[in-house]
Amino acid sequence: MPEYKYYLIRRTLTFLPTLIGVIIITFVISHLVPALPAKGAFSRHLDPRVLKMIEQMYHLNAPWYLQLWYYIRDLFTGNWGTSIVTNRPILHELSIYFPVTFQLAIFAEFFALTIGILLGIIAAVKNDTAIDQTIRVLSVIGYSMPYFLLAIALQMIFYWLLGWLPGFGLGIKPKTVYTHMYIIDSILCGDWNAFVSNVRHMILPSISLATPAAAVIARLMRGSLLDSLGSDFIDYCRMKGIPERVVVFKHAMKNAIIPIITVGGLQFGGFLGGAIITETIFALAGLGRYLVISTYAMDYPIIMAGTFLIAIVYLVVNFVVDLLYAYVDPRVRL
Amino acid sequence: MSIKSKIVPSLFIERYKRWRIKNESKIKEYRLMLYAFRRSSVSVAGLIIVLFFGIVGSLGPQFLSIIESTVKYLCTVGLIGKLPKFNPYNFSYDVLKPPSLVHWFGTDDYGRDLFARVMLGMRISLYYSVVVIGAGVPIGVVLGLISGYFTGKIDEIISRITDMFLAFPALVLAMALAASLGAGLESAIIAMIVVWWPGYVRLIRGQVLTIKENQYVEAARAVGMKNSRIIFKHVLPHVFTQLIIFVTLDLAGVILLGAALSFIGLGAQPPIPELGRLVYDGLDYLPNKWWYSLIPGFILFLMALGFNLLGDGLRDVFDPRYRRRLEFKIKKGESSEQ
Repeated sequence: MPEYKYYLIRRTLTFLPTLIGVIIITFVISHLVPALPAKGAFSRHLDPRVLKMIEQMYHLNAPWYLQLWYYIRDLFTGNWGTSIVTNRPILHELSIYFPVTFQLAIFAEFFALTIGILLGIIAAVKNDTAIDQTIRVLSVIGYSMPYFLLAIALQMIFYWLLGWLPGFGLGIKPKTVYTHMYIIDSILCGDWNAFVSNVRHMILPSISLATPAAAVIARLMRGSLLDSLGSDFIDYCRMKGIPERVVVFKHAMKNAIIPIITVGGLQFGGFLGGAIITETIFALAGLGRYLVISTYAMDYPIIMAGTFLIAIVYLVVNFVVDLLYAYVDPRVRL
Repeated sequence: MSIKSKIVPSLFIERYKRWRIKNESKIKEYRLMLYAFRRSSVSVAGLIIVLFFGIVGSLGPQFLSIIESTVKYLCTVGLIGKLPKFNPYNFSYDVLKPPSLVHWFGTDDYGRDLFARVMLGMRISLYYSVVVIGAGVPIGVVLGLISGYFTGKIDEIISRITDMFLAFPALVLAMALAASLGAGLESAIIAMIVVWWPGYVRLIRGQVLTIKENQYVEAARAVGMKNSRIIFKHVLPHVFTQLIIFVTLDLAGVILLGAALSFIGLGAQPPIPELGRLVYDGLDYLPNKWWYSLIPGFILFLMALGFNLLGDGLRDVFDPRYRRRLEFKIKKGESSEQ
């Protein structure tokens, strides 16, 4: 597919400026915004001489373009600094905490897509009936829901009242830890107990995280399936006598599902952000919870590094999703 | 004098009648819009919720004193047995009391009345949303109009910058900015404005790109109209309906984002009550003292729901296809009655 190759090149070319933009924005936030950075965090306790030393260590007295240069160099050489509170290297900390968030986001993506697509299909097939109206109202309720309210409600019901699912923390630690995504680790080392417990621990947080996104996807799915069902080739399929089920699921769905791919990718960023709140409530030792603790402790290097990491992951995910989209839908790559 | 007083009203009526004839189709359309809006009970419910929160939020502390005086009156009449206590800031010994007649929403861990705190917190949430939208939307609209109308290098630059900001999940960027500006109400607002404008650039740019292809824009250009005049007279009005819908929906979005920020501890600092912060403070006392975090959370949900329902209703109302369908239905109904 030559045109796919061109699309790939074109998309990569727009990916790079955005990446540079992300670096610049995080740099501006962390270095140029007045209330900041290491200077602000340290100055309460130190005498001026030590402050000067620290300034020199972090190049805070250098002109901004030199600072930017050091910043970029450090980003790519893996020297992301140390946390002010725990005094451990940030990259190491992130490598422990981020996988948990990533795992949560993937679970949430799964729930958002399945619930959203299912409800969307039902609403479209039962168009303009009471079921359709109910799904519509449910979806408005879903995306008006603050992350924390749903999380607390689910926790109250399924953990405190019914006791069906665990409401706090991660599951059993698998025997060997490779990636810090416990579910994958437990599969890799064949630890069945750890796998089950980790999946059970992921259900409530990921559903609470996925609900607003599922609501959006359901609406979109309904609209796009209705559009697709209204087109001529569907009439033709029905005329041929293909059963309605096949018409909807095989012929109409093929076109209707395409826009969902992009939205699914965009939602992923929402999950990475929403994880900040969900992890706080469910006490998951992920990046989100870590960021909240860092915010309360004013641990700026962690906040900046976490922000940068999330932005990069979000960028890469969207890049991959766009490539996938172009692969599925030939119109895009032209 | 008497002649004048007779003539003047009749003149006005005459003018009004002429104006009505001249704008008949417009009036019809507006009435159809009103009908479409009233028809869906859900959007009317949204409007009522928004109005309620708007009134309560804009009154703020006065609202509390109004309620206090009315309740006092009702107490003297004998309708209510107990006087409620509203102490949003003063500590008391009634720590973590469940909702009752004295403390309608219960009390928090310092013995402060949650009802009063929630009412004051709502004001801050509304303040957030109005200020952020009020500042973010004009920036987004102006840049969107420019980049959509004058395609080329300007468009490329603006779009790339927008892309950079949209590369961050909203909450994450807002959090980083608010943290680096130092926690507080102002920095939260600045952070949210920075997060919010790029979405509008995208929205308006897309709209302008399609509107620009219309022949009336081309005609205006052929006649020799200035670009600025074309933008204001022929492009902007067509963007407006979409803009109203998105502003309504985004008011809810800002409320939720602001709540999330204050949940993380980056909003207004205590003792100023903020709904998100109340939820966070209440987390330690779950599940037994449920009112502490669930009630503020639910109020937030109601606020967002109101704006979302209203925006949803407006989307239908402003959709010409929906209106035509409705008109068709009405006419069909009339003819079948005959």
